[in-house]
Amino acid sequence: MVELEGLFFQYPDSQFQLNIDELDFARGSKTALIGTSGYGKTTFLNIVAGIITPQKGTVKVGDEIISALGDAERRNFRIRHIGFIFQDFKLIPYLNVMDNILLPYRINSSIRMNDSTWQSALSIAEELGIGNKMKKYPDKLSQGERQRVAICRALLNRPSLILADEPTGNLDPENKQRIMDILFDSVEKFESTLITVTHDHDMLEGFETIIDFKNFQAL
Amino acid sequence: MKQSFYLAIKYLMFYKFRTMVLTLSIGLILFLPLGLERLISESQSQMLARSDATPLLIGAKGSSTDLVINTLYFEKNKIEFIHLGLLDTLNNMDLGYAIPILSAFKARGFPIVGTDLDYFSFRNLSIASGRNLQLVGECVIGSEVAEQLDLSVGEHLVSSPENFIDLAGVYPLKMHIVGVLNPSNSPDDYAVFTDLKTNWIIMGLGHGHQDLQALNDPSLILKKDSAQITASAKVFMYNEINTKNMDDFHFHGRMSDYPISSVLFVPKDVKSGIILRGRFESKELKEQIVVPTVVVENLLQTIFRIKKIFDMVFVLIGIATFIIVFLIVILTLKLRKDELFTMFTIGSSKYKTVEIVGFELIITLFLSSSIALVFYGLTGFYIETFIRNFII
Amino acid sequence: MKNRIWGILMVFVLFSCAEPVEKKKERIDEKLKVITVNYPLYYFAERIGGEWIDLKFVIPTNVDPAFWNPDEESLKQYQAADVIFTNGADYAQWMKNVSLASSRIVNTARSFEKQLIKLNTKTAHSHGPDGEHEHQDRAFTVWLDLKLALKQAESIRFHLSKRIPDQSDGIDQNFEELKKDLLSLDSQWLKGFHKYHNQIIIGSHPVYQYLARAYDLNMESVHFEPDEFPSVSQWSELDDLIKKHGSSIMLWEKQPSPKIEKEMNDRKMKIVVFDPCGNKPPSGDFLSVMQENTEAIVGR
Repeated sequence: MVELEGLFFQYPDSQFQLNIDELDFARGSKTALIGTSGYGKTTFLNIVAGIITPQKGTVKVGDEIISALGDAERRNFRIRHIGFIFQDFKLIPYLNVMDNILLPYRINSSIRMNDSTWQSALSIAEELGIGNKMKKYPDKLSQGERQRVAICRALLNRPSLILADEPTGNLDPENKQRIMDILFDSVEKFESTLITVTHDHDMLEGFETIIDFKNFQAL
Repeated sequence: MKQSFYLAIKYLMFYKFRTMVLTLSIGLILFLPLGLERLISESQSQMLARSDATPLLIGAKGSSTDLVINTLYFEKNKIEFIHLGLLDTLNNMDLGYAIPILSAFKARGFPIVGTDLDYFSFRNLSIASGRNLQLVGECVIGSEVAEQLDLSVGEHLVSSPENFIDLAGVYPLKMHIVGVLNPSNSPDDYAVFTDLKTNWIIMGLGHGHQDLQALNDPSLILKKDSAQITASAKVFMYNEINTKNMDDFHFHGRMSDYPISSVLFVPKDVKSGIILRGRFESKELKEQIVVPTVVVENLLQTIFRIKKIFDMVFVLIGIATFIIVFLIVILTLKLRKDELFTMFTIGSSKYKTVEIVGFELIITLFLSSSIALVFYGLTGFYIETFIRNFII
Repeated sequence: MKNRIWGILMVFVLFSCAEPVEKKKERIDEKLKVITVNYPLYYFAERIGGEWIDLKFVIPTNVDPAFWNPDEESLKQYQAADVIFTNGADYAQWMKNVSLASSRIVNTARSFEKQLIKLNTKTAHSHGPDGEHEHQDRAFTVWLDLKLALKQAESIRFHLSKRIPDQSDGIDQNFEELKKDLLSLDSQWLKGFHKYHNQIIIGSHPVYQYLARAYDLNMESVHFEPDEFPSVSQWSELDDLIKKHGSSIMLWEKQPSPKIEKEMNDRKMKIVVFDPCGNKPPSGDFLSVMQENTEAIVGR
């Protein structure tokens, strides 16, 4: 599903470098990236998502070599095939739950909203137990509910690749497990590939592969 | 684009208070210079229209501005009276016709204007309900008087005493409302029109009382013989004229000596107007004659000078507002950096972000402009008040 | 769409052109509306203005116009008139109570204001701070002095000519004919009244002041109505006058009732009917009534 080869990335004006000779993620696999802060895990996710491009190497997601695409093409690819879940949920405060879930459709015209989109959003929200909160705003939701909204947003388009950056970072233990269960269930259901950055070693059970990122960073 | 518009609306509606404050402030800033411009230019148009529609005014020597303001706007000011006899003199000059005006009293805050029927046809005033004046003691009210005092045909309006101290001297007269005029967008809408004689009765120059020959109460008679009856001041003066007591009303002295505030003269043609002005200038007649347009134009010059200062102030306020709004936008964008980056991460382009924020600004400006437009529209209702409180 | 706009514009232009023509037609058809406060002035206006004026007479025939109060309909006629000829001397008392357009009121006695006869008919009274005042009347039957009547007619001629300049020649001609008639009457009265100069004539009402002054008559007045039998005190007042002045002639506005006639005969008083003609006569016109008055004087 995801193939990286000869990857080299360095931020301008920084000594940080990310070097990955070769790394593959099979379709439907669940991988956890661990390592202390500063090892480039989030940078890696951003490269795989096509938000930033490496100075060297290729990044292939599915059949698309996204590292060779232009900005707009990468954006469009990202919005159609990749679901991104952020550590601090990153919900838009002035949009209600429904509008937050539908956000990708409002910010990129390569995917169009229709009647079935609304229905899908409602179904997925109900599946995740927030179907009755569609009109509420983020400030009126609990942490767990907010993360579920973020997951709905990421999964609405049935992405083939799910990138989660510390999805349980701000949650209490009960909600952590619930979220991980939801993620794993969704991956199974949509046959998506899951790559998760996490510091939470308690949540590693369930991942097929665990990669320690200290191996990829060169100072 | 539809989606960006949607997100922009959502943002503005969520932060209602912020949106309201911003739109109101910008709206006010947009409105202020436009509103003042409208007030002044429409006041100018109205005042000039009013003065252009009044060919010549004649009154006692003194301030021509006071004369014009009293006759055109019925504002009470210190002008001296002239005599009714002048009307006859002017009408017999064969240069046009004269309309008497007497504006010295008020009824519940509205000026009582004594005149004759020529005034209504001259000013093209038509009756909306009821009829025009026929008898002494009647009044016809302007549309604004009817609306603000909630009066209609068949009701009454009492003239206000000059002042509380004067209660013993001038009796308030209860006037019968026989007609309401159609709106004319002029000071006539705010006036209570009566016959001249009704005004003189309010002034005490005419009155009605019980027949002194037939009084039942002996305490009302101070002295009586075959040639003369002296009654006390206690004798009842009628404060209302009706068909029963109309014949008891009488005037003292010669009517040609009775006071009027001014005469509105309508010359037959331009030449006649010039001839008449010549007669006043040659001191053949001792009063003054003025061309209202000239007086009003002089009055408006002062207003325009003040307006120029206001315009400069508004420009400065506008610049300051623009800077503040610009600062607010920049700071808001900084605060929203996270939110905008989230959208970018999910799949939004930078252009999309600009589009969303752009729509927020456009909608805010649109709302502000709408507010400014509404205020601008409402300004029209206050032209008359502006003229009365700030110009005259 | 374009065609529709052109169509609307064309219709608009056509209507705009039509309007002034209609208005002009209206002006030609509309005569000067004239009204008067008594019959003599009506007669003069009719003789002088003729077919060129729309003259109205709204006073009922059974009233004295000097003491008449118009109803709403009659008042509307006065208000609608282009010119109102008044008699002067505060003749129409009702005018002090009504609203009219000053510019349309023409006082036909303006040129001889100083010649009006003052009367002291009301008791002086005073009240409040203004002090004593009386309401002084002036005699108002000015037309019985035919030279003053001529001045009234002249005033009517002047104002009609001014307002209908196109017809001023016709107006002047009409006036000249009326003038001839009035002057002829005047000369007949001068001759006719001559024989009464040494007598005191009694008038049934104080309405002959101008007649007396113009034709050099000595007159006293009582207040007798032709169809109302006087009271004892009224007869007594008449008897005193007859005794004091040795009068033998009484002028009446109308033929008195037979009962009064008998009383007059008993007192050897000759009845001379001299109708001031303040209102429209049941038959004839002002001139014919004055002719009858002439015959009444000359015949005696």
